[in-house]
Amino acid sequence: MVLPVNEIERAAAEWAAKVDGGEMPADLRPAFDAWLAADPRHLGGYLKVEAALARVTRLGAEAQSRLDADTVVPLRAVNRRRWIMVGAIAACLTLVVAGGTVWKANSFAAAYETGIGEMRTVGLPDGSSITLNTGTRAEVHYSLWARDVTLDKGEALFDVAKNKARPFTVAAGDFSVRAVGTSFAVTRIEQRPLTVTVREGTVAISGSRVAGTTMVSAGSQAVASAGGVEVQPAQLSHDLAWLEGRVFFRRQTLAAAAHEFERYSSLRIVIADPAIASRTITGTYQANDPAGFAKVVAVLMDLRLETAGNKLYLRQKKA
Amino acid sequence: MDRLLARAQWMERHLLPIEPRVRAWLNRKRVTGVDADDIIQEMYARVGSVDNVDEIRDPVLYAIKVAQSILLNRIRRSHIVSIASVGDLDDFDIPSPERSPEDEVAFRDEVYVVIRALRELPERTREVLLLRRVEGLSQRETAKRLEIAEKTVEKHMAQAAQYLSAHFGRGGKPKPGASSKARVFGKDDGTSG
Repeated sequence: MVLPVNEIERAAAEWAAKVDGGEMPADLRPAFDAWLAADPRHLGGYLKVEAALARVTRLGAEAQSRLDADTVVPLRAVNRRRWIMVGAIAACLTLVVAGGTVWKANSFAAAYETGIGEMRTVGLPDGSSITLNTGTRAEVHYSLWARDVTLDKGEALFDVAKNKARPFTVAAGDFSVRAVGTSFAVTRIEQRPLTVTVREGTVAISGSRVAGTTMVSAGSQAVASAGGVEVQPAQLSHDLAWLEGRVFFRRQTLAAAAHEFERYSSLRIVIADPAIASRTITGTYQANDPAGFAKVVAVLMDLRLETAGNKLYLRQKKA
Repeated sequence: MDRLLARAQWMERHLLPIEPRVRAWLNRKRVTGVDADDIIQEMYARVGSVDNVDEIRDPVLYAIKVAQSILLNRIRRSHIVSIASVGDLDDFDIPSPERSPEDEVAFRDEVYVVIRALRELPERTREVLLLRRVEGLSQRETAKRLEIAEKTVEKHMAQAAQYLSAHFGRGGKPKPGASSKARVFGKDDGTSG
């Protein structure tokens, strides 16, 4: 939690903390009124803070229940029980009863999937969590010795709880990404190289078709393709913008930007003029709002925007 | 309930959701010497001073007009910037009045935003916040429940309040120390037709 530097909001928050039973205590009222009267922005800051708290009052119960339930029910919740059964049988076979308990407590399997435009965070039994971006599927297999995740497709951030004895490995196609305790995102989109963005700690990437292991540390991004693994500096706020439901473009062509939005929605942006497809755009946009993006582009670049069905056509204005 | 708190509840529904857009718009203007936080606070203060908010038919449009007029006033008062450098003030990306067709989806997104915010808070701060503002416990009851001093409850509560205000208003994580220079939202140079 990082608090921004704004004196008025800080003071306003201190006043808001004193509110009890839906009002400012009577003994504090004169001082509070004096503070409000001192500067018109004080009222604004206070109302803004109280509006934020009102949001928690309105939605907090729902949020809390999902926070407690770790956000989501595994798609294959039954599997967990099956794995526990397998664990129990294994324990009997090895005749190590105590070991069986440990196994049971540590084995876990589930698959998680998000639809187009959906994003969700799932908690795992060891305290790690996975945030799945749009159109993503991941399978989790925990055993006593290892924590294995397979990223079938899409993009996900892994916040890994530290445990040296149980490495956390994400398999994605020909590559695997291993971490001990760290936070990193893996992007596996068709026709694009696999990318691994590391937010905290270090991960090791190895591939079945490339030699050696590449270490990637916090603030770096690895791009893995058949040709090998290349490491470059990451811009976390941009590369992980999807965590906030946004997409970030840095001098991206309109064609590529339109393509990116297809990951998040069934609306299609069509760049109807080849002449404008290569124009570039920079900025952060709401991922689930291709229509809003198209509108902004139309205004910024002085283009004509037409909507037909689920298609948004961008073309040059007639002279 | 306190009149200000009742007003804050209205603002939570109508003003807070568009604050990130207003910020983006302000940042896009890139007016030197004008602080986005200042203007946002003034916007809240002005809407807070309206006698009867029920008379505001279109809160989004209203808030945008207020923000525009505040910015214009600042520019007029300032001798540093010329209006020409700001360009067209009427270029707000006005969101469509009808919300998402599936209200359920919209609600889930809202809840998700709250979940994300709650996750960012330290555990004890989150506990205090939820006990105070969701379960409605008094400061004293909260202190007793958590076996901590009342002053500590107040401290956690103030931190939570400040964080949430910044978090929701910026549509995500606040940037430390750069509160008024959030995202640059615009085009590259030399790309317009």
